[in-house]
Amino acid sequence: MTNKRVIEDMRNGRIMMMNEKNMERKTPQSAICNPQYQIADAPVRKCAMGEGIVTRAPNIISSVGLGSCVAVTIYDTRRKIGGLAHIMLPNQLRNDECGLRNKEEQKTPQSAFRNPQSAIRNPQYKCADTAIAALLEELKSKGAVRQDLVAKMVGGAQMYSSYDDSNSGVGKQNLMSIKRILDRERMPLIGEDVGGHHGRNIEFYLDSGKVIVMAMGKGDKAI
Amino acid sequence: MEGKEKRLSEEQLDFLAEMMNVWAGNAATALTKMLQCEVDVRIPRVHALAVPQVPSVLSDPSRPVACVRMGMVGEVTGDLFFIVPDDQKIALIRFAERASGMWNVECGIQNQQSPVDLSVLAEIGNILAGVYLTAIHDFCKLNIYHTVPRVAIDMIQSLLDESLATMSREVEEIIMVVNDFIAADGHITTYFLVIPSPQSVKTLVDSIEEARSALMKGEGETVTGRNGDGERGRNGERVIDDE
Repeated sequence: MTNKRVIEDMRNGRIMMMNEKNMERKTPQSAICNPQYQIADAPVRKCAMGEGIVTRAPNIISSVGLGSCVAVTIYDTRRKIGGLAHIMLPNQLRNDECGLRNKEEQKTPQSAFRNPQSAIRNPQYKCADTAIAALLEELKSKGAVRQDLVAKMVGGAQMYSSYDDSNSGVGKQNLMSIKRILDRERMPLIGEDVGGHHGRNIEFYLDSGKVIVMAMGKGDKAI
Repeated sequence: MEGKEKRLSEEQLDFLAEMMNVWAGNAATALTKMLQCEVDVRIPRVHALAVPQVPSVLSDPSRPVACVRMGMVGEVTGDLFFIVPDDQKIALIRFAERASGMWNVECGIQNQQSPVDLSVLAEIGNILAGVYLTAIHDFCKLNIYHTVPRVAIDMIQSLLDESLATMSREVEEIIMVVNDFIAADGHITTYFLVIPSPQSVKTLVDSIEEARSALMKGEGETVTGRNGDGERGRNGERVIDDE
């Protein structure tokens, strides 16, 4: 994608949550994009661990290496606006742990990092409870309507199979927490590909709302 | 101010790298014996990184790797990872099997891994971790044990993320030590990651500082004479070897 296109998109408000640094990062080196689903010239936004992106069609949001992490996508079926959050943890440790402390850090972003550019851009996306709230808020501000929103989730695997397959793994806790939150928000969960013992890559096509899940040694799966 | 207290200084990170170098040397020797081929070790890299950046330091986050995960328990807690790129693991396993006399022609030909192969991989990781932690114990007098190794083959980020997620509860910046072992004329590059938990980083550094000051008292000239980085590493190693 050319810079011109980016600027144009920005002017039209098509690209959200974006700054100059961001712009360089998203130049598509992502060869993982599947040609069979890709619309020509559709920009791919990469969502790193613990980050979230909200954008609209025809963009694609991709996120790689989901292990115990869970990617939640929320999509407005009519307006084709959607968001993806790469969630790492089921909930905040304490009230002040995730949300509030991060808010402080946002005020003084340089404080915690040797290299300020390496800071997580949107720290509220790390934990499930704050992430979903942040996604909804962001979607709402971009014009999405609550009644048309549907959610999907992918990930939450237990990467190392061990003797205890109980609910102790971070992956399972993530899934339970996200389900609970979506229930509480009365958000229909219309698709999921969760659990198991393998990692996943996903691509979220905002044109159709489809989420393509790719796993090593397995075929692609559309949900 | 509080943020600064928690962080290690650049000098401390350097020193951590130097010590890790000595320990990694021991581990490389162990690997050489196990594989019966020359194993080189690069100077360990100590990274202080935000969580999303961690996997990309090693390679593409979606690169397939075989990974042995062990936990550290005791005075220092955290995670240990022994990582072999997926395309090189068969070669590594065959080396190990040949060296240990397990190798036979039938299973040498097939290119897929069997459960036995994975357990060989786990065992290599296990031994490396043991050597590594023993070296830390000898030097820093810290009692650290490692837990039972578990193996998985998948994308590198998905294998690391559980451990990173748990640690990112408390800190935004993660200290990670990367040791590269290069075996068999550069054909096999393996990584040994040490990710001490946030609470343990300080313990580790404190005891290193203590050990260093003890060394400086004992050895006097040899140790105080250093100034350059490379110099420091070699002296450190020699001191250990003499013991």
